[in-house]
Amino acid sequence: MKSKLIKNIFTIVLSSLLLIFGLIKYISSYYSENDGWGIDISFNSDYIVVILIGLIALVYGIYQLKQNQKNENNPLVSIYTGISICALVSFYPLGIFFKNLFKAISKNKAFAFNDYVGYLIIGIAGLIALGLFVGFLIYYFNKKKVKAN
Amino acid sequence: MKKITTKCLAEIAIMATLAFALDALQGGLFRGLFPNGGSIGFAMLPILIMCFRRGFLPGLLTALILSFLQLLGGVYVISNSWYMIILQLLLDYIVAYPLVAVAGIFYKTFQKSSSTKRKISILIAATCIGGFLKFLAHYLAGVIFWADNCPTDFLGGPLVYSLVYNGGYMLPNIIVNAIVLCILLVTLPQAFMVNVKKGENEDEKQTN
Repeated sequence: MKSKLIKNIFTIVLSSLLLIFGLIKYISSYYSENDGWGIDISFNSDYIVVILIGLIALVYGIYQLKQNQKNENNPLVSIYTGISICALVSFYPLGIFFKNLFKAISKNKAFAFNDYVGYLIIGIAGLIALGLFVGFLIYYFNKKKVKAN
Repeated sequence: MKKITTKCLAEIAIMATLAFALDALQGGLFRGLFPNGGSIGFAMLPILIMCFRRGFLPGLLTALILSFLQLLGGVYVISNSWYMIILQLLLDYIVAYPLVAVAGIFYKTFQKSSSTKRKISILIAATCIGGFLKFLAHYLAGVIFWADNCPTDFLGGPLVYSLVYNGGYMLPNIIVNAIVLCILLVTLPQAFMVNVKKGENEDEKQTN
């Protein structure tokens, strides 16, 4: 009970820090440019992912804290949280990598692979994590089904 | 008026996050094919699932969160007057995905129908309507704001160019999402139904 409480408080504090860090970095990444045809107002969308992960983890931590107080356990929220964080960590970096790759190809420019290889690595790692998580879920629910029968 | 429960809110947040991640992935993969925006993939799927699982309002909320997240990533405006900028932001960023949530008006008919065949036909019809409305928003934005992208020798001008360009990705999008939804309905029908457990009955009664 006490260890669960500590774990939940740790999750809440860590996710809050992540959220604040993401927000500060996101706001400071503001960039505006008028290219003569239109105005490009942009922010570094990488930090949106950081903010989202922080937000999801914060909601998860608060929810778990509430569940612990009631002595309840709902694995569905953990599943949702795991899948959404894995999906964010895998799909988003891969999207950024391919977007810049095809952008360079369509403009006949050399693709700066070294600048985006980090996205590719994080994306592949995220995909592996997502696969492992889904695999574990299938195993877990099959085991539960067998036990129930 | 339906009451949105905490569980429903959690589902909305998760689905919007999934849609955002999927949208980023498909946007990157199809950048080469559609350099001026647009992509083919499953970003509409979480919104549609929420529409059939929870109804119009939760679907709309999911789509609005996705639009807001896209807007946070940055915008490109080409108009000078403020009302045209607002119109462009509405058509390009804010309205497009929420229009998909119109599929949620079929929620009650979908939940009430007992045969899978009928459910499949409702799914397909709703996806087509939602997808068509999204296409309409992109088409209008193409004609009003992005007419300069149209090649000068293109037959029919911006009216036809916008139709071909936006139809080029929206039609496959509708087909792909409708197929995946039908497969999901057959293999995992629980995804479209809210599981009512003991103790949650009151909560669900309020929702319905």
